[in-house]
Amino acid sequence: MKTELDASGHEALTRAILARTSGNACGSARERLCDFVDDTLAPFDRSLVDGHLAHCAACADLAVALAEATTVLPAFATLAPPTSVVFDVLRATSRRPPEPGLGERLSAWLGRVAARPRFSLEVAYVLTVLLLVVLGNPVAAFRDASVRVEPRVAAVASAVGRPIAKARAAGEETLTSVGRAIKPKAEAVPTFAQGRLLLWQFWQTYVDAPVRTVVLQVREWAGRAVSELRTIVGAPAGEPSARPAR
Amino acid sequence: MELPTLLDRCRQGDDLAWEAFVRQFERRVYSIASGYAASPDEARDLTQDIFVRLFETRGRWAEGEVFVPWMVRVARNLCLDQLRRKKARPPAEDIQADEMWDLASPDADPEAALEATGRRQLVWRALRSLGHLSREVIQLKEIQGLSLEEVAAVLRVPIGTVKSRSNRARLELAEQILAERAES
Repeated sequence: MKTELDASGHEALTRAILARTSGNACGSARERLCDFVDDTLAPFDRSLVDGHLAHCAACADLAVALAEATTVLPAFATLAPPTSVVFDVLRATSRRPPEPGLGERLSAWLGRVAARPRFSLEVAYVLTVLLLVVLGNPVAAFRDASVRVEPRVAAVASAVGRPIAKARAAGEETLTSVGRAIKPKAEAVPTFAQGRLLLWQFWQTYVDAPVRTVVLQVREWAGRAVSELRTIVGAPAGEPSARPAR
Repeated sequence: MELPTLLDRCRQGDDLAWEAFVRQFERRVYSIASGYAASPDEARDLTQDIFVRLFETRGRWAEGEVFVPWMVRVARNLCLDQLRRKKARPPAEDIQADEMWDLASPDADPEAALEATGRRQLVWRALRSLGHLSREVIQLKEIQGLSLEEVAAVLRVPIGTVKSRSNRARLELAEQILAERAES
């Protein structure tokens, strides 16, 4: 009866024991493989990895590939371009001035920024925000405006109301006197032409002159009212009117 | 030619020094650009842009030993900017240009050169099939040879993160190489 194990039997037994205990050691070996290839592993660890590689073909292949890559990679540090770039680089840099200073770069940047279509809108926005920050809320000045304006409005109403009432009374009085004068005359008009002449005389005597007087008076009152209004809104007395004078 | 002297001359505006600088770093910058570009032509354009940016900022170049990591960072940032713009304006058609990269080995022995070129193409294809993060950390650390600290400064992540990300990326690359080899 055969009692001794051959090499493959030993290997199978080792794997079986590892499978039931620590598991596959390939992970640990691969963690140290780079240092193994670089020869920076401590002697004891190196012998452990050596021992693993002797029995694990996959890790041994990986170690060979790793060593090959480690040998080849430094050759890629200097690759030849398809055509030399020296000429193109020299052409691109020979007439190029040194990098401009901070002031020039800032000026160029401002130029680029100002050329953008939305620049004016952005500046207006920023200035508005700045004005609000520096001067405060402009609407605050009008908070008690109604209280301050009320007496002025009452004064204007009083100033304008009185002349209007007087004008109205004068108008009514004129109309009454005209009516009283016209009625007996109109009843005695014999023809249309005489009637028209009579009407004209009445107009000249009783309507035209008083109406002109009233218009002049109203004009004077309106002037006073306007100057009062200007005082309220704070406009200078001599400020030209928006409309041209007729 | 000593790098600090060359950099000083470039800062002073010596055109000849600038030409020497471009010649010295052309392949390196092109290599960085190729890590981000989809095609050699795009990498070439990126390379030009990187040099123009370097020229414009030559008064503010980093001094001495930190110049190369600084230049790598400038190049990377410019490439990422272009990548973002490109994402906003995707190309009209997909570019499949992996075969167009010049990966020929300079080996004098033709047989050895052929073998080396085949190996390079295999690794290159595997590298370009990786995700952006993995490819970038390999580009900076393994290809450009920056230290962990320098890579951490470029990527603005802790050193531990660079270390773990680099190990993961290299293993991913090795697996991809095996997969490419199995396919071919």
